[in-house]
Amino acid sequence: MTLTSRPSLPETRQPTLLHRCAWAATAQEAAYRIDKPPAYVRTSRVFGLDPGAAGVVHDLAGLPWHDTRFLPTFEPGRLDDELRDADFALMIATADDGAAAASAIGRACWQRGITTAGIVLDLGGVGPHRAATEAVAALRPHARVLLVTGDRQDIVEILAEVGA
Amino acid sequence: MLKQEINELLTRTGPGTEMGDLFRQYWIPALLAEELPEPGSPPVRVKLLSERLIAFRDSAGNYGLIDEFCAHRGVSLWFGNNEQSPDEAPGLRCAYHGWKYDTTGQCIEVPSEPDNSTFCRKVKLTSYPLVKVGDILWTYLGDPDKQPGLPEYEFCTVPAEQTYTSKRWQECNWLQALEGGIDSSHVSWLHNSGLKNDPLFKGSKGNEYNLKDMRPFFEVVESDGGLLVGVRRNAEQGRYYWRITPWVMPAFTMIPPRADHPVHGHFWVPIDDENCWVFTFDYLPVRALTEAERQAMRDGHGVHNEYVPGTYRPLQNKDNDYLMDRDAQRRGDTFSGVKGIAMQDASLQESMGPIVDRSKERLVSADSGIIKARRKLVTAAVELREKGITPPGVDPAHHRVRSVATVLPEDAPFVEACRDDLIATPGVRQTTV
Repeated sequence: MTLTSRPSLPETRQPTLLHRCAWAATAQEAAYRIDKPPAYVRTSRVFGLDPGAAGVVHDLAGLPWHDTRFLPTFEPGRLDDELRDADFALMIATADDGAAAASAIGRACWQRGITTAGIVLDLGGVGPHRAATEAVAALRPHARVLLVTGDRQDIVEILAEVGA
Repeated sequence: MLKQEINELLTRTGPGTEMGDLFRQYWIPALLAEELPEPGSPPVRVKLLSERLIAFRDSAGNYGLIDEFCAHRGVSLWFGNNEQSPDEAPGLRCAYHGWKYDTTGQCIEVPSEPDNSTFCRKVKLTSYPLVKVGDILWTYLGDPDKQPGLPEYEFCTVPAEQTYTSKRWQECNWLQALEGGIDSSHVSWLHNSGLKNDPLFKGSKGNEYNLKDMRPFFEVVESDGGLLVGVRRNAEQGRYYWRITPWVMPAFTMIPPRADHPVHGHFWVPIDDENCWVFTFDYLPVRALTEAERQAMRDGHGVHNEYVPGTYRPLQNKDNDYLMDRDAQRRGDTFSGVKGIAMQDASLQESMGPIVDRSKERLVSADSGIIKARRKLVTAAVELREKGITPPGVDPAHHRVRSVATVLPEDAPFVEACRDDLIATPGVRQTTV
């Protein structure tokens, strides 16, 4: 369909010809997208909520990241300092004994406007019949996003995707 | 942001590609049954996973999906004559020199050869099975020895009066279309007017929860066939409103229901790497669709769309700027200025370009469902290629899922609380708010 065959539209609905959608969405036009990445800084904190998670967090800390700090063990007295300037907090649990830590971190993040996420690493395998572990219940009130997975590489992927 | 090589792996579905091999493990929708309505119907060009094919229904009623081009001179069989004479064997005869093929692609006549020649038996075009299940003709483009059981998605196994399916051409890669089906967080923004006004959406108590709480919480859980994405919003004191979206690999998503409206969802099928078919269904597990509901779907309401007459191309498309209405946008009638839920999604997804460059995106934690879905696709494709592992979603048992909308106590885990509701059970009503 060419522009001449368009339905008759009021003046306010006319497209801007140079960037009309059909042309703007082509692969050729994609080549003209600004190549310089947008300014984007994510300041992240990754908390281990239990001894199993501490090892995972320790291993993650060995990978290259941007502005991310890894805290294998929760220390309530240091929470204020750790969350200063942060805008994303990821809590990792492998068991249900991190409920108190999750609650403290979640509340502190809520007060500071810090986005929270939780990952329950179910190393025994996951599925709709096993998903609701105690660890999920402990994290649910405090994590805006909660992922239950048996694959620790998911943690790397999510951190990388959110720019940690 | 995704590495460019992973984006390539996920988006290329032609023969020999990793994702193409993955898709070739599954039955996928090829075309609507209405496109071949009766024996001897005109043949239909079909392109799937970057393979050009011709679909036809011979005079005996058999369905066939074969290589589009005649073995002789490479002429398109779309011009062919689907012969209907009772004196002739059923088949599609090439318009150029009269070579004739049956629904398996076997050549059954080469007119230039002597009457008693057996030459035609040595000529066979590539062919794939084509089977009607529900309103859809499904095909399987993989190894015939590994052909799985037929699809058992509930929308295509309920009686005909309880289901309706449409399809539309979307002019972008399949994955950016699918990802819209997994991403629940855009609904309260892009589709907010639809929740209030669309005849197939409005009037649900769930809509009130949706519109009152614009910052939902997300939970992503693996299922046997793919993922369950649970989205919770505040309901009455001490309770959450949950909307649960199942994704069955590789390309099936279901939208959680609203009130007693029909339940809908999509199948996102690659045509080639820069185009896809979006098959859109609406059904009810326990009652027939009313004529008003069916008419609303034909009129393009709900998740369906209007068409350029005589085609499956949406009436609103990129050549007319999706009939963008800035006044409607300014008034708040639509959030993006584009009318209708389907085209609101398609317009934005097409605006990303034919294949979006995911190395330039900046995701947030609310995109965890999309992140996990990509990982599952990559993992399945690699494990298939390297170890021959059958991917999730091939087993027809994985198809028997439902979306759910429900209100639960704050401390109830959604998967366990809704375990029975998430399984398609014949004769049992959907769980809805």
